[in-house]
Amino acid sequence: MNSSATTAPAWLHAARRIRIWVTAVAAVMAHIAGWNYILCACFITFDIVARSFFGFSSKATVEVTGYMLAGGIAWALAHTLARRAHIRVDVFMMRLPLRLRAWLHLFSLSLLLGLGIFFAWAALELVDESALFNAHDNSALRIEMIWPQGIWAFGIISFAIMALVLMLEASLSMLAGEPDALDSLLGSRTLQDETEEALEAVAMAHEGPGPKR
Amino acid sequence: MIAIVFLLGLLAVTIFAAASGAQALPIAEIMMLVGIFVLFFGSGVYIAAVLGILGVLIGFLFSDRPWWAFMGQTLWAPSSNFVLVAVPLFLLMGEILLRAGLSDRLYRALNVWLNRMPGGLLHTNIVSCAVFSAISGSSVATAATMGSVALPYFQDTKYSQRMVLGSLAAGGALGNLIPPGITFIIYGLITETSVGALYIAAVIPSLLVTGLFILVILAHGLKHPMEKPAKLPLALKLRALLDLVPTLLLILLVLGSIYGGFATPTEAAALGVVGAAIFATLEGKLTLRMLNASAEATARNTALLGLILFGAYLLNYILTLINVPQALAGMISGLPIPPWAIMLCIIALYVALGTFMEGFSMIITTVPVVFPIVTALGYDPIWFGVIVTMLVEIAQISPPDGTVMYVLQGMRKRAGPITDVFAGVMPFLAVYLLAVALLMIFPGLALWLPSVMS
Repeated sequence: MNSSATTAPAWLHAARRIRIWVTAVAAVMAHIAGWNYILCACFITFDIVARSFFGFSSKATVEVTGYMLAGGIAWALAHTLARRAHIRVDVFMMRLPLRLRAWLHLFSLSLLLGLGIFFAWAALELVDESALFNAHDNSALRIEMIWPQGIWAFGIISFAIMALVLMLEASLSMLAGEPDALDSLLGSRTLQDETEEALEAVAMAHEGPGPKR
Repeated sequence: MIAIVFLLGLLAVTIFAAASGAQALPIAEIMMLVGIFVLFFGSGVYIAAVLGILGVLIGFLFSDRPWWAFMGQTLWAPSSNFVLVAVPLFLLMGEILLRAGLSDRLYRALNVWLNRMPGGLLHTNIVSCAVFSAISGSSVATAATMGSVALPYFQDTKYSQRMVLGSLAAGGALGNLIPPGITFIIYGLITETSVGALYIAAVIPSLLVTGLFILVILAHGLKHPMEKPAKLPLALKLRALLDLVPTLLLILLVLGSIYGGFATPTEAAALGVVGAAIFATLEGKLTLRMLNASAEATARNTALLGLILFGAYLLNYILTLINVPQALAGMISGLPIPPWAIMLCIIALYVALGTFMEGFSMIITTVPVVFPIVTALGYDPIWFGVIVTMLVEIAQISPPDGTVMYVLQGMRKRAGPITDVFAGVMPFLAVYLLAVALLMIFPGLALWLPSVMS
């Protein structure tokens, strides 16, 4: 384990490449999660219209949209972590010197990783149980629970993987003596980031073809 | 700093009360857990991880049952809850409206009607924020949208910069209180109260807060009189009302369907998304890129809430398993202190937490423990939901950590210190607290309407 300065960057590069790859997959998953909500809105609206005007309903809206929500939450967890958007109270931490802050980032991430692995295990156990008892829901469609729960569990596992990959890169950055790289990798989004994002969204309203008159 | 001292003081009092209660409480372990909690919090650990790890530790320390066997179900239940489906849908609606430019028309139309009152354009800030927040569930989105529309109107005018920024921040902080707000959904989910009833209960308090804000501006306007703009012909004013039509239609669609009993809040949110998309199409703003950006933001913000909910449900499951909330509620309601004093402590706790914690995390972290105490004291769950939401909104505009204020600061054209925003928001913060006090003295302000409508 003699981490000489010459070999460290090579590991670090490898870890970084893996992280970038996982991040890209996570981003795709989050977009799927987002479009899934758009679909969800259309589905519920269709159901209301069908119920009020045509007298029929899918009779499974409550269950199916619940599954869509579960999948949506789980599939966007990893992306949210990569975008550094999971909430932490960092007003005190941000005042600390960089090296100490870097250690605290590592500490926070390791706890999140531990919890992520626990959640992933719990989710898999649930799927396993549903498979064992061949569980179905009570909706008209009698959906087999392993499907929505399996999709959900996959998202939580991806979250744990994302945390693991970040942990790997962060630890190697620390070993290579680059606490500032670690800080920019894990430091939570500042209010400035958040504000910029809101402004970007507002700017979108002022571009484009504009109102048709 | 004041917040921390206050929290430690409250903690000391609680422990003292517990110790003098002559019950055999495992004080050492409790102190250790509290220590871990405070340490984790201070060192910037993810809130979800703080809650989750604490739950795991407590589970191993105090329970001999295989609690982990039920974890999958504990996490699955809130994930797939139909009530919670409303959250991403309202977020999505807000994201679409934010990018569709609905706010410009709203502001222009209201301005024509309000600009001759003392305080002038400042009223437009509050009222347009109030109206916009009736359709958007997010305070940050409300502040960002209205700020981007309103600030150009104030360029090169004699209006006090502080009041301009303050009124916009305050208006933004109406976002969650005026139905439909997301805070009510989370609260309803955790406490199993009806979200619809919460929305009905919030009507009078939101009118009250909006009214108090208008009074603040009237007072400011009378103290600093300004030249009134020329009177506009009535025909022009009436034509301006046309610009309000899309907004009013959306409000009618979302709130009308809830209050009319046609739809659950989740269904109303879905209708709202479709309505917002139709509106964006009419404005020529509905593009694939815009929908994609809205979808991504919605997914991210829902996941962020979801992870905290996971941690909170884990912790709450284990606390309930070993009877902590019930025991705590029993102990505190047995204290020789009148209920209103305990309620004041709870309110002070929220205000203190709000100076450094973000609103949602505050609710998800505290309500599972505080709620049994509140009900044991004999307070109404619906009433408390309104109070908590108001406190979360107060947190949004209480310096130094108020997201809404930083959003506005980032939008200023003329540079200035952030303290301008802080100073400007102070009078509004004061009347917001006054509204909480009024609600404490007259609970009927929140409870009368639900009792009439049910």
